[in-house]
Amino acid sequence: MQLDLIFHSLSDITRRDILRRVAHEDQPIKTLAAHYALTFAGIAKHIHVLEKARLIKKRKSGREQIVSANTETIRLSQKHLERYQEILACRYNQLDQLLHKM
Amino acid sequence: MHKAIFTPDETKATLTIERHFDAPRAKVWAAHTQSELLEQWWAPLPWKAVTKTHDFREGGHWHYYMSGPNSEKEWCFVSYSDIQPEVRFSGDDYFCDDEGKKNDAMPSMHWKTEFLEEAGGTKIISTIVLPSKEDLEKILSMGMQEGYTMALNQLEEILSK
Repeated sequence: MQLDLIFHSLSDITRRDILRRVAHEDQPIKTLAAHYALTFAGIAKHIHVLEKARLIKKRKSGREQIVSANTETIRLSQKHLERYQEILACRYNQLDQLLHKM
Repeated sequence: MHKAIFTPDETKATLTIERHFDAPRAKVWAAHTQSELLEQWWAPLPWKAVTKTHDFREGGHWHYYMSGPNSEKEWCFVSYSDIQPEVRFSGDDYFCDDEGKKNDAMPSMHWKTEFLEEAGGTKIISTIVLPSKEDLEKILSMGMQEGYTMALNQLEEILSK
């Protein structure tokens, strides 16, 4: 299921960071890999997880593989603030219940 | 249930949240500043906040983790400052490890919460200062994970468009 893949992808801090970088601008895998203390294969694995969740796309440019954010992801990120507000609202609803018990 | 009023200011990278509670200010303050109470509301279900250490004073901290439904552990740190009892307190939030060492890949977030008595209870005003728009997105992708259950329906809707 697509949603599970997305959440699984976002559950990892390195993948979130990769996504953030490519959302900002398209990048060759090699450039991305240089940011992390992981092997190239390790990064490629993370990228594969992100790709499977359709959060990113890969394309070939000469001998390089370029990673870019999927436009769907952009739309999602525009919804982030809304979602964050929901989390806070949920928190406060829980606080209501606690205060009621106190 | 009262509605939270959100006022995002993307140019200043701040988010202001106002919320009324039907409880006296002393109780709302206690719920924000005592870890055994914080644990009962801080994490959005099904996540749970679990305290490692808590010391509510200026220069003190709350070191805890968010325990997830699939036994995830997201360690968080709150460093307290500018405490005026039952009036306001500030803090810096960041993600860390189980020893409290800051995760430098993630931005920290500075915020201030004010407590005001008003008819029928207490109003809190929280102002969150976000370092940059880019960092905002980082923090939100973390928040999205915490809000897993709640976000599902909405996300499904977005994806189906």
